[in-house]
Amino acid sequence: MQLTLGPLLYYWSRQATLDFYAAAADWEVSTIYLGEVVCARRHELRTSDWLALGQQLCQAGKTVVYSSQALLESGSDLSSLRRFAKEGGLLEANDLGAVKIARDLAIPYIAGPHLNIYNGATLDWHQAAGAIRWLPSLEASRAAIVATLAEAKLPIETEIFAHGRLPLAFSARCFTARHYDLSKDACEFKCIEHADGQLLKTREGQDFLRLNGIQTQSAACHALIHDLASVTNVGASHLRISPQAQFTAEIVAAYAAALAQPAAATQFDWQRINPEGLVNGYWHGQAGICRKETV
Amino acid sequence: MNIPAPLIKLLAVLPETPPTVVTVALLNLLRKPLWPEEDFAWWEGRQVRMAVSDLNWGITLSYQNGRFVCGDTPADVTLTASLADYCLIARRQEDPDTLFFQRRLSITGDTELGLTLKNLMDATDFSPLFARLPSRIRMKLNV
Amino acid sequence: MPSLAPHLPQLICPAGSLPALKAAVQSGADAVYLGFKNATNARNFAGLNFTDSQLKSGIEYAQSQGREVLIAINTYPQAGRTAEWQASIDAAADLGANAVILADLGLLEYATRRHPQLRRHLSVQGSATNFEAVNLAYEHFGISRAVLPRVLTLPQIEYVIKNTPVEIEVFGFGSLCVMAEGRCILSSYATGESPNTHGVCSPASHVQWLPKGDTLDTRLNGILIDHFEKDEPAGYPTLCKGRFEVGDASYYAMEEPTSLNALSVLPELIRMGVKAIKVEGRQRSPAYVSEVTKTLRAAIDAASDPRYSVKPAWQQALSKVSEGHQQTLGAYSRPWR
Repeated sequence: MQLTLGPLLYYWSRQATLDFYAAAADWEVSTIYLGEVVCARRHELRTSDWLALGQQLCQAGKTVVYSSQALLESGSDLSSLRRFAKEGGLLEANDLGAVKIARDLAIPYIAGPHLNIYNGATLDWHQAAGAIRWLPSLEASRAAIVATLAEAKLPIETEIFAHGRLPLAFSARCFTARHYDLSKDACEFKCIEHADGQLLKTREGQDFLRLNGIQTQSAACHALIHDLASVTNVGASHLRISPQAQFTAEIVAAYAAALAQPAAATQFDWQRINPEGLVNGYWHGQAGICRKETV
Repeated sequence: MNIPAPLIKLLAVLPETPPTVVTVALLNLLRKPLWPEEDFAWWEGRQVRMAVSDLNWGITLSYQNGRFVCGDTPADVTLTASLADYCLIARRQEDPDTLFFQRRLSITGDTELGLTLKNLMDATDFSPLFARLPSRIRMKLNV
Repeated sequence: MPSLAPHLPQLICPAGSLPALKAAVQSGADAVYLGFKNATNARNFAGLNFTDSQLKSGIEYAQSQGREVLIAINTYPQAGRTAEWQASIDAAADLGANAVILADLGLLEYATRRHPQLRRHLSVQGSATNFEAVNLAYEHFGISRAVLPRVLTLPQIEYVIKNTPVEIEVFGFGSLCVMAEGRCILSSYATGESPNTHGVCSPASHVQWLPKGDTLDTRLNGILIDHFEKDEPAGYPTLCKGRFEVGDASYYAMEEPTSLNALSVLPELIRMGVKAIKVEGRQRSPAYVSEVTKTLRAAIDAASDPRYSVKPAWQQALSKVSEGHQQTLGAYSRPWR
C-alpha cells in the first residue's frame, strides 16, 4: 500500500505552497498530485510554476500527477490543461473534458473522484480509454467499492481518499467572494486569507461545512485511520492524504506508521491534528457526517 | 377563492366524524377507478390528518387491509391549509408547492408520507371518474 | 402550438405524472421528459413518476399530438444493480420513447451497443461543462444532444456550441441548482442519499418541518437548515439554500431559495444556436407544468421578433410558482460571477 498526497484544495501564498511541497519531498508518499483544482482565478503558482515544481519533485523520486479542475469551463481552462498533459505526462482527470484531452494525446490518466464511477461497466470504460488508476466517488461506501471492483472485468489500480476534508460540491458561484459581498470576477482573492477554508455552522452552532471558493467541503475531516484493516483488504493500492494548512506531515507519518503497525493508529493526537473532528460515515454506508467507531 | 364567513362558522362547529366517514366511503368507492395500479402499501396502518386551519378541525384517514378507514390521532403526518386553499389544490388551480413556498400549506410529522400523498393527488387522472357521469353533467363541468 | 419556425428551440417540459404530461402537451411543449418509478432517475420521489403502463399511454398520447417523450435514466447505476438501469433503457426502447437522457458512461455504452437507433442525450447530471466533454460523449456514444449544467455564462455556452456538432439544451426556468449537477454530494453528506446514488436531493424521509408558533424550522437528518419567521416565504429543504453562520454573519451562505428565469435572455440563447430550452420541475403539480409551459411557449414564439421584450404577465405567472418568490438569471448574468 502506497500513500499519495492529493492536490492542494486551498489557496496559499506562493511561498507557503513552495515550502509545503519542499517539505513533502521528504514525506513517505510515492505520488504527489499537483495543480489548481478549484478555481482558475487562483494564480500564486502559474502553469509553468506547477510544471517546474513537478520536475523538482520527480527528481526527489516522487511520481507527479497533474490534477484537472473539477469544473472546466473556459477556453483557457482547457488550454492550460493541455499544456499539463503535454509537458507533465500524467493527468488526474476530474472532468470528462480532461479525459478527452488525455485520450487525444494518448497519455495515461488517473480517473479522479469527481468522474462519478459507480459501477464496473463505467470503470472498464475508463480503463479501456487509458485510465491506469481510479478513485471511487467520495460518497462510495466500502461495500460499493467492493461491488464495483467485483463487477469490473479489466484490471486497474484503486486509490482511496483516506484523509482530509471532503470536497463535496462545486458551483458557478464563489461562496468566499459572496461572504465578502464581492463578485467572483473581482474577488480580491479572499481565499488566500483562509488557509483551511471558512467554517460554516448551522444557526445552532453545529460545525457543518467549509467554504473554499467555488468548492464546498465538509467541516469535519474524513479519516479512515481507524478503518485501515477494512481499507487494505478491498484491494486498494494507494491511499490519499489531502493537504491541510498544518500537520500534513504528521498525518502522512501516522498513516505510514499505522499501515506498518495497526496499533499505531491510536497513538496520534487527532484532537490536535484535526480539532474539527473525524468522520467516516461514507466508508460505512452512512451519511458522510457520521462517525462510526471501529477501534 | 372566497368561502363565505357564515359557512366557515357553520362548518367549524361540526363534529369531525361525519365528514370523515363520508370521505372514507367515497375513497373506497373511487379507489379502483382512480388508482387501479396503486396498492397503498405506504399508507397501510399510517394515520394521515388533513387539518383545516380556519375551521380548527380536520379529518384523519388511514388504510387497513385494502380499505380506507377512519383514522386516529395523533397522526403520523398532518397537512394543514385553509379550506379555500384545499379547494384550490383539489381543482388543480394552484400548485401545492407554490402554496407551500407561500406558507399557506404545511406538512408536519412524516414528511415522506405527506409528500407521497401530495404526489398521488398530482398524479391522479380524474378522467375515468368523469367518464361515468351522464354526458349532460360532463358538458356542464366542461370535462 | 408547438414551434413552427425551424430555428426556434424546442421547449422541453417536465412530467412527474400522466396528468402533468397531458398538461405539458396541451400547453405547447415540444417534448416532455419524465422518468420511471425507481432509482434510475434524478427525481426519485415517493409517489412520483411513471409505471410502464402509465408511460405507454403517455407516449401514445404525446406522439399522437406530434410531440416527443424523452426518458431520463440519469442517475448512476450502483454496482451490483446495473441490470435495473439497463432494463429501464430496454423498456424505454420497447415503449417507443424518442430519446433517453443518460449520465453514466457505462450505461451510454450499453445503450449505444444495444439500441443504436434510440437517440441518446447527455444528461445535466453528466456534468459536461465544456466542449471537450461533450465531444467525448459524441465520439464514443454518438449523443445527439447535451444538457448543460446551470453553471455556465452565456459566452461560455456560446463557446461550447461553436466547438461541437452536438445539439445544446439549457435550462430556461425552474428551481435553481447552485452547484454543478453531478458534482454535488452535499445531500449524502447529511443523509446518506444523493442525486447520483439515489436520485434524490435532501430526501423527504430525512426532512422535518417543525412549526413553533408562527415560525418554522427545517431540519435535514436533524441538522438545522433554515428557520422561517412568520409569513417569510419558504423554499425546498435543500442544503445549498439554507441559512447558516459564517464568521459573524448569519445568511444564505450559498444561495437564497430562488428560481432560474431566463426569459430576458431568450433571444440571445436563440441567436447562439441553443436547440432546446428545458423547464425544471418533475416534482411539481400539473398546475405548475401548465402555467410554466404556456408562458415559456408564448415567450419562445415571440423571441425571434426583434422587438421582443418580457411581458409583465409572463413574469407574473412565473413569479407566482417560483421557489421563495425570487427569480434570478443565475450564471447567465455577469453579476452572479
